[in-house]
Amino acid sequence: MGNPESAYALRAEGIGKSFGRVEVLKSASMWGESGKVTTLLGRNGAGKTTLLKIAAGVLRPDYGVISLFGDVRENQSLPRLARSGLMFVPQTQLVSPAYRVRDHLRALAATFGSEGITEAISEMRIEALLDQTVRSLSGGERMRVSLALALARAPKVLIVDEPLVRLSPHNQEDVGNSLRTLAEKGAAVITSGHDARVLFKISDAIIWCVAGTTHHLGTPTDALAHSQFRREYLGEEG
Amino acid sequence: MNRILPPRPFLDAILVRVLVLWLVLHAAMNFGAIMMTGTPLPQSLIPSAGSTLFLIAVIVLVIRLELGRRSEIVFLSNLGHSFRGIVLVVVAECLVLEAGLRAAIG
Repeated sequence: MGNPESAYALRAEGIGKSFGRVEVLKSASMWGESGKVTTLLGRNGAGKTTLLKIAAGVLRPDYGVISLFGDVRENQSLPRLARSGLMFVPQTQLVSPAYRVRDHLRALAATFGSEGITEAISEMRIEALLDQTVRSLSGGERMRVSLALALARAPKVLIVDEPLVRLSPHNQEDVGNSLRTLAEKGAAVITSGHDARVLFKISDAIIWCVAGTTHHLGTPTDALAHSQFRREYLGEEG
Repeated sequence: MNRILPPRPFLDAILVRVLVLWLVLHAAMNFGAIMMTGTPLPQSLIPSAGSTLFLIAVIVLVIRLELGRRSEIVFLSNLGHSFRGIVLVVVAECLVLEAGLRAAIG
């Protein structure tokens, strides 16, 4: 059973993962708090996506522990975590190209109820997209649909892998604001990416993923005061 | 909250894909049985128990690949549906089709 006293909604601790001889993660940790946005930053290949997939139960770690609201289980899987209130939006896509946007919303309503769907459609401005197949949508529109599904689902924990990638600056702002809205509604939002400008604005906590491990830098202000992070990740001199 | 069967239209698509695969694989196996062993119709339409298990395993594998290729598995997982549950649907449909075929041929 879950532990309601648990301070963190989701914790992944001491995670290790290798693919063949390549050690991608070694004792990496991350956690998400209800009502807050936690962001993983790091260079390509630093292990951000692997860590998020392990936290979401999509990949199995070689070692380490995942807990959702204090409920620690070996072999967590996404369907089981989803039944407990987690939602995972992968970098590739959450929605299936072969179906209409409306089909996804209907499927969500059939599983979790239709409460919040109308509001989510209007909040993400996807009314005009409802009868289009996902195949015909742009990357930004697909992300808006994914976030509309997340808004309608109202997950307790939302993991979104690189939501700002390939989006225009305007769409990045919109998606960033939507993640912030979800956190304000009580979800623990955990995300990743490279677009420091938007991500710093919406985040409450920054985790720096480097060489397969993680450094918890604190708030965006704390992160910007971290000289090694500024030098090695943001590329600032001095 | 329905957690047993995947929601429509995702369930419909899985059922149709299983039906098409089952028909195609049966046609191929029937052709093979006639050409290689000379089994006459309609007996050639009914595969052995081993061939039936192989056919179901192939269908499960193709459905898994298809769900991944079309990003359906991530969406259904987010709704709490595991692939294990989908396998049950696939196997149940295959067994119904096999039973129907055997009943029709007699």
